Amino acid sequence: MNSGNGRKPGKSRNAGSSRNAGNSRNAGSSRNAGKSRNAEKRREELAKIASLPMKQRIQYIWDYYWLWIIGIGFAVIFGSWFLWRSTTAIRENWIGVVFPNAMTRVGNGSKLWKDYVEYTGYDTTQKNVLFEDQLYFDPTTPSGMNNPYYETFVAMIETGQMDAVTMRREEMEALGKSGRLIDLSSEPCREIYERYKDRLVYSIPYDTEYSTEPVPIGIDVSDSILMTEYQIYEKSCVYAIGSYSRNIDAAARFLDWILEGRSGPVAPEILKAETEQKTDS
Amino acid sequence: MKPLLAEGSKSVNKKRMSPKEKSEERWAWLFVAPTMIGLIVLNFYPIFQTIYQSFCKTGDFGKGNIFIGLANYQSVAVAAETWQSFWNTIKYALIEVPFGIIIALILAVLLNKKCVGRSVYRTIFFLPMVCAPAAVAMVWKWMYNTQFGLLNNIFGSKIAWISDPKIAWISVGVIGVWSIIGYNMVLFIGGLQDIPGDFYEAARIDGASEFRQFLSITVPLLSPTTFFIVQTRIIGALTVFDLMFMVMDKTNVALKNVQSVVYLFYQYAFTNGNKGYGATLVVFLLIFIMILTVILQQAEKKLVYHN
Amino acid sequence: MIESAQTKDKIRRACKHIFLIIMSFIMIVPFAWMILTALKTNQEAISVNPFYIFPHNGWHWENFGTVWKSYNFIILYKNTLLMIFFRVLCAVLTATMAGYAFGRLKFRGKRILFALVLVQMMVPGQIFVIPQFLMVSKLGMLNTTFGLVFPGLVTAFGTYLLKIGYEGLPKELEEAASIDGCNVFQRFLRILMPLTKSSMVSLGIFTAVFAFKDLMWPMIVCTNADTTTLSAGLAKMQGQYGSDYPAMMAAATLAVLPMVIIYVIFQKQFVEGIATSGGKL
Repeated sequence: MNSGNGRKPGKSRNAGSSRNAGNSRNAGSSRNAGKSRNAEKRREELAKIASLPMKQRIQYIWDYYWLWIIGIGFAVIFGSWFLWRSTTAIRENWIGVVFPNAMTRVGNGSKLWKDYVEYTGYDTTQKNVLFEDQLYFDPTTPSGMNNPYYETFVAMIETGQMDAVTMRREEMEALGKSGRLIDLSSEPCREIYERYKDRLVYSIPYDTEYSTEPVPIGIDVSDSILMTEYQIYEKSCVYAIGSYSRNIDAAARFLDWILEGRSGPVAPEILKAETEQKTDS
Repeated sequence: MKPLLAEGSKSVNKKRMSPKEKSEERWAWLFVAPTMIGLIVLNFYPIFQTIYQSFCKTGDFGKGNIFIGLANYQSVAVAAETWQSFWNTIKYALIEVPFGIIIALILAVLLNKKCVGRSVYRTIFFLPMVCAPAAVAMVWKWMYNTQFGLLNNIFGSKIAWISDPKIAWISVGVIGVWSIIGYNMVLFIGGLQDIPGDFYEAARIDGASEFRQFLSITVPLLSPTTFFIVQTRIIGALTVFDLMFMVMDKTNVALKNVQSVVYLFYQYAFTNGNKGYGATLVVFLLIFIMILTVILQQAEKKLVYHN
Repeated sequence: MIESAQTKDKIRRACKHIFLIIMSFIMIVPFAWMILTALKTNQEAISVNPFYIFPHNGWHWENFGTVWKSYNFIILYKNTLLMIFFRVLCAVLTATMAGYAFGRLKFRGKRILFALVLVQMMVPGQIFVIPQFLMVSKLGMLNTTFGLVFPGLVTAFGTYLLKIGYEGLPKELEEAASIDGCNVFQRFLRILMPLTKSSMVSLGIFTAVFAFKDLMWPMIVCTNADTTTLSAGLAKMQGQYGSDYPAMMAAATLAVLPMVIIYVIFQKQFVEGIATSGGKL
């Protein structure tokens, strides 16, 4: 078995006693024996490989180590892809808007999306502009929310991936009860609240500790370009911002655009506000 | 020297381990590491988050988690719908687990033997697993419809299969059994494959009848697989969620009598945005299933045959 | 004597087939319904007469053609098969390793670690979605196959299944190998793992089916139409077409086809499991 263990006397003694060690379970010697035996094996293996001619050598290595070769190869490819992807991926959004139950296509790459990106001049290679228009649920009934679409919507809003949402009026009133839409009378939304005071949509939250009075959660945008130009809903359309949004200013800007901006030039006061924010941060 | 070492090897399980066992332990840790790391990152972090949330009040317009101690537990424990939903879930499990397993076992045993069209049968029993949920829902609605349904048409009856609170849970359980048979069968066939054929050979030479072979070979040797299926199906049935609502309309009066714990959780956590309350329901369910599992694991030692 | 035994055998076989045929009929109804609906006109599909099972205004095979053109099936197939492949690979790999350790090896903390594996199955899957989405999003892996595979990297169910598989193998196998000087890894790879083939096939089938049916995760992680999977892609578009049942069912039928083919291939593996070494019952 161990043909070449005469080279190093110290180790060979251990190797020789390894059979006894197996029975007596002498901790130290058996471990050394195991190690030296492994080293021995490795040396033998290398010698064997070196002795073969090139073609057979490759054949031999493949036959015995194909699992390792494929495994390591795969790990290397995956690892480098993973590194590349995680360093180059776009993680942040300029803005994300969900249009549930939309009747026309206003998702990523649609006309609305292109128009808005063009208007704002957002660099989509740095951050994303996400418009999601293929979710279908009905918040006015419990069973209307018992579907994967609604779960997806909740995940998108609660993780802050999506900043704003549009829905029909009665749907938005029902949706607002859950507290997932921001209270427009709260501090971060002060400006929107003041500007669109006459358009507010209210709903009474489930959480009576928060408020037993109706809370402003949405802004009626039934006369916006979403309805006139893109016809995403039939009767009414309400715009609301998610409670977990990190881009409230961007959401406000989108609101201004759909109501006033049209495809015309950039409204000067918005541009001014935008540059002020930039210098602030 | 020798007796001393022999003694050492005996006391291994107490303190010191032999190098062999040490190396075994090292390998074992290496082998479970990917799974355990994955589970901790992917699953246990969310579970701990949920447990933490159960002590919090959440859902008030993005104000985050506010610690409120055991208040959620108190309100969950006194709510009648909590216990109703637990009872509904148990009733469902009582139908789904035994029937789903027995029918699947019979099919698996029949299809494990060589017979005409075995592959065809196996494929047919697999189809419900991949069938579009919308088609499944439509068919069951077609079966159960009170006015136009197939069942009432055949029996000439006027039974409200899914809106009568007394019957609805059975109707829902039947759908559960139907949809789980295929899964259980796949597992049973896998288990049957692992029984060495020479056992049957020997039994046949001894002149044992097929039924006798089933009782004395298949049942004991399949018992680990059976136990596994019982265990996982009990857990699966107790965490049932969407099945109940496949055939139910929003106006269904029997809703209260079939809604499961997880559905109630969904109602609170997703629909109402009261995540703290929902999380508390999950903790209740978790504790309940854990107790059941401990009992089952104790029973396992007596019921399951180990070679 | 012999003849009566033969007739008895025949009767028994006939009974068995009658039972199997009845069960097959019960199991196949929704699937047949799906295909038959795909061939109807929409009016027939929503008719309330329970005995209008077959299309009676001609068989509309062209429904399949229309659906095929309106979805990008090739890309959806590709994404789905890639996801299934990697999920099955990861599940079988990690579960088989962990299952071996739990089923065959002695180590401290085994019971508590296994209890953790069980606990994972006891909580509703909904609680995992939002945290896992945040992880994928932080890694920058949205809209990638890795993102789709992410929740299936490890499997508690599979670990348990494989543990049972390894526990069922005879003890002598390992002892013999151990005397031959195989270490733990070699024993695992060369001797025990090949014997748990049927458990691995079961796990493969389960993983593939669950990955195929998973709707919400692809919907959240892959919002781009060209990175999503069949089930999510079809679900999103179905909402758009509302109640066009024949189109829905035709799409669902086309989506299921590769799964059925995969299963037919896989289940052959069952037949060729280890048990074939001896005769079967």
